[in-house]
Formats: sequence, C-alpha cells, structure tokens
Amino acid sequence: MEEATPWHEQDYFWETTAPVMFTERRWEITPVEVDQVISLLGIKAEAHILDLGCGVGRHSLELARRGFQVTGVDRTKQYLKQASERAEQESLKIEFIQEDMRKFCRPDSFNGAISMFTSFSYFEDPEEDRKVALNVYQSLRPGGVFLLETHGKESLARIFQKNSWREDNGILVLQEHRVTKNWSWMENRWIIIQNDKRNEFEVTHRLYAATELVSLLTGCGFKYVDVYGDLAGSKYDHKATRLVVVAHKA
Amino acid sequence: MPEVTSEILSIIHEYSKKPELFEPGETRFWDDVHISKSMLEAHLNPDHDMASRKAGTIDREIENLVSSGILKNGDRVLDLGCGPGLHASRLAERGVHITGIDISQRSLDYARQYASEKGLVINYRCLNFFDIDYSREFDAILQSYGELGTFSDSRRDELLSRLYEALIPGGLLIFDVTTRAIRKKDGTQSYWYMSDGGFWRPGKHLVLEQGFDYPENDVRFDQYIIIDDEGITLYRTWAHDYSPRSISQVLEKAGFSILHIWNDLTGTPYKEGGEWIAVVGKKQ
Repeated sequence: MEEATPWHEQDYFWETTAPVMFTERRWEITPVEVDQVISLLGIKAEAHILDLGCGVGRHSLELARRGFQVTGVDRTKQYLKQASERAEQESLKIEFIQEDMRKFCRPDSFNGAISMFTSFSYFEDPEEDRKVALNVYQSLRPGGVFLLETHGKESLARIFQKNSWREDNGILVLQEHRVTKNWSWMENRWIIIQNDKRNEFEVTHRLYAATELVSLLTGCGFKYVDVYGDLAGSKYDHKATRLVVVAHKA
Repeated sequence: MPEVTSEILSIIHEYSKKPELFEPGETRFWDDVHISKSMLEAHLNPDHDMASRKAGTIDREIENLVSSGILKNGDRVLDLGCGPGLHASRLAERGVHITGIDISQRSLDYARQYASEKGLVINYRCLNFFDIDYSREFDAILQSYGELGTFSDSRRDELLSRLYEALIPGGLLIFDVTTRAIRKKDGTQSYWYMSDGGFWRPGKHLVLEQGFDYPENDVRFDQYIIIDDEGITLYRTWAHDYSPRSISQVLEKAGFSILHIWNDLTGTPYKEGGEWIAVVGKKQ
C-alpha cells in the first residue's frame, strides 16, 4: 500500500495557508525579530547565515538588508519564487535553494543558522529530526551558532486549548488540537475558509521539552546550548511564550 | 457545518476588531425565542452556575441575608433582574414583600406560574432596569449575579441614582460584582465549536467565541459570533470588574455608605484574591 504524502510535503498545503502564515502583522514584526536573532546569535554583518525553512523569505530578506550573506532553504517552490522576486525588487543578493531540510547539507559553510516560527519537528520518525540537526551542525563552521525558535511543550501545556480560531484578511482559520503519544506529538486539524471555499488539513508535529531539544542538539555535537523563553532572551520559565534554543559549535 | 460565504467572512472580519468600551452588540438576546428558552433552562438548572447560581448557593445567600438581619419579615424588597424568581420565591416564603423585575418575559412567565403554584404573592413586572421609576418604596434592593458590572460607568451611575431614589432613607442596596481575579481563570483566547443544536440555536450552527481585555479600565468582554444557515449574529457581554476600593468609591459617590463587603452573598468574609465581591450599601 502506498503511503499518503505527509502534509508538509504537499505544495497545496503551503500555498493555501500562505496568506494566514505570512500576515501583514508578521511582516511588520520581522525587523524586530531579526534584531533579536542577531543579538542572540552574537554575529556581525557579512557573516554567512543559513535560513532553514525560509518560506517567503521574511527573515532572509531582512538579514540581507542588514548586510548579511544569506542562503535560504525551503521545500516549497512557490515560496522561493516569491522570495526571489522580492529580493530582486530590492536588489538584494540572496541565494535561495529548493531542498528538503533532511537533505540539505553544505559542510563548513555558515557562521550562523536559523530555524524560525516552528519550521522544525514535522517528521514522524525522530531520527529525521536528528538528521536535520546533524545537517545544520555539519553545515556550520567551527564557532558557528544555530538558533531554533519553536513551541515548547511546557508553555503549550500551560496555555493549551482544544479549539482555537482567528481571522486574517477575510480568511477564517479554525483549528482543533490534540496532544498524543504521551505529549510527544501534536495533531491539529486546520479548517481554512476563504472565497466561499473550505480546505481541511491534518497538521502534525513533534513536541519538545526544552531539555529534550538540548539533548538532541548536544547529541549531534553542539558544545553547549542556551535556552530562552522568547526571542527577546527571557528566561525559559513558567511565563515562557516560545522555546528558543541557541546551540554553539565548538 | 453551516455555509460560510465571503460576505459572512467580511462580517467576521469587522466583528473581530477590538471594539470601543461598552459598544453594544447587535442583538438583544433575551428577545430571541430560542435563546431565552436556553437561558431559562440554564437559570433553572440547580446544578451549575451558568445563568443563576446553584440552588444550594442561593439557599445560603438567602440564609445569610435573613439571619444577619439585613432582610426581615415584612420588608419591601425589589429583586432586580429576578429571572425565574429563584431568590424572589425563597424570600417570599420568609414573609418578605417582593417586587421582581426582569427583561425576559419567558423567565417571568415561569416565575409567575411557580409563585401561583406555591401560593406566594409576588409582584412581577417585565421591565428594563433603566425604566424603573420607583420613589422611596423599598427597604432593600437585591441584585444578584453581577448585572451591575455589565454597564458602562455612566449607565451604572444612572442606574444607581434610580436605585437610590427607589429606596427609603436608610434603605439597603445588596449586590455582587466580579473582581479582576476571575479574568486570570478565563483568559482571553479564542474558542470555537460546531453544534447540531444547543444554547444559541435549535439547529446546526458554528460558534466563534472571543474575549477582549481592557486591563487599564478593569473591563473585559466576551463576544459570541453565531453562524447558521440564516446568516451571522453577534452577541456581546461586557463585564466591569471591581475591587472593594473601587466599588466603595462608586457607591459613596452615589450616596451610599458601605455596611458590608464579603466575597459573596453567602457572607464569606472578604479575602483578597476572590473572584467576586458582595456589597451591602446603605442609602444616606
């Protein structure tokens, strides 16, 4: 029996959800996010940054505007097309590569790498998450830094609500959330209604506690890993809103 | 799932914007045939606190008010927002002369029926709070379960002046309001569900719930967007939270002195952190 294509390998999913993922508000806050990313990475302009799961280039473009050398990697062709067009309009030189993050590896090439906005942890086999982290480790130069920004299991447990909804620019998003596999896996049903059309997707991903993510990264060779509760660098405590880890390669 | 057209989506877009303080919803939901029926069912369910408090809690509220001598046999009492008469009938059984007013005809029909079955003499009237024009007629006014917190400051003050007028000199105003502590529990996340028939509609409908917080005003409101095959409707409930200090200031300005402050109308001694405060004010 042929296995169904997982949600994260479907162009239709990424293309349909683009308007609710990359909202005006998210573009607006991007410069602030990039300030915070630069500060947490502790890197200077001209450094070479890998933006893994770069999407439509929200962070790649902003990093390039500030003089960083940027390589953006994403699996969705349509996203990269948009990102390249934007870069071209602003005469920014950014390398965009269409590739699966489980495969992309360019040894000893980057000073920094980022994985923003929960674009890590989609794969059902935990070994594949490990493979991604290992690829990043190998792609970094000695002294390189990897910043990963995602949902932490601890903060999610605090604010978890079975159903949630939002409306953005005339698109209604209804979500149903289920925690499964002993709090290691999240299963979401997304109902997206726009232009009299209704789409439904099953969106699943792994949930990491901070210490689990640290173990994964140190297991890949990272020397030490700092943990924060948001991009501003707050503590990862009971008030944390996000899980941000910054892993250092020796 | 009911059909959600582009037109409905654009209305949801408008509704989802944070409104001005105490901007009203579109619809008076107590006038809706189905919702008023659901409300009455909720009032009459003795086992939960949704529309009225649980039956045991109401018993203890009445016990507190009577045993402390605040309400006495022969007193003339106005029950403001009496609903199906849960407090009114209990007080009438203790010899209190009750006038009950409420906005829901359906609740009052039930209340009258219940009173006549029990042989209780209660004067029920279908009236908006802001249409009362009593003058020095009552020894006490009872408002239970937070209604006073649903009005803007100016409407609240207008109501308080009507209540002041309705009381005899030295008359008592007894009510409860929420505190800020209740918001910590509720949060402000958006919730949705689909129903084949429930509180809001008898048939298939989609409910989008949303909470907005105005911490600088101690105000919060919840809205319910209901979508069914008939279209889309918005219901809003506002809640102004108070502290003993802020509610005392409001009452003193309206001409009342504070006799008691409890955590609830059952007389639980006041402690900070409670989700409610109950107040007995005396007309000066």
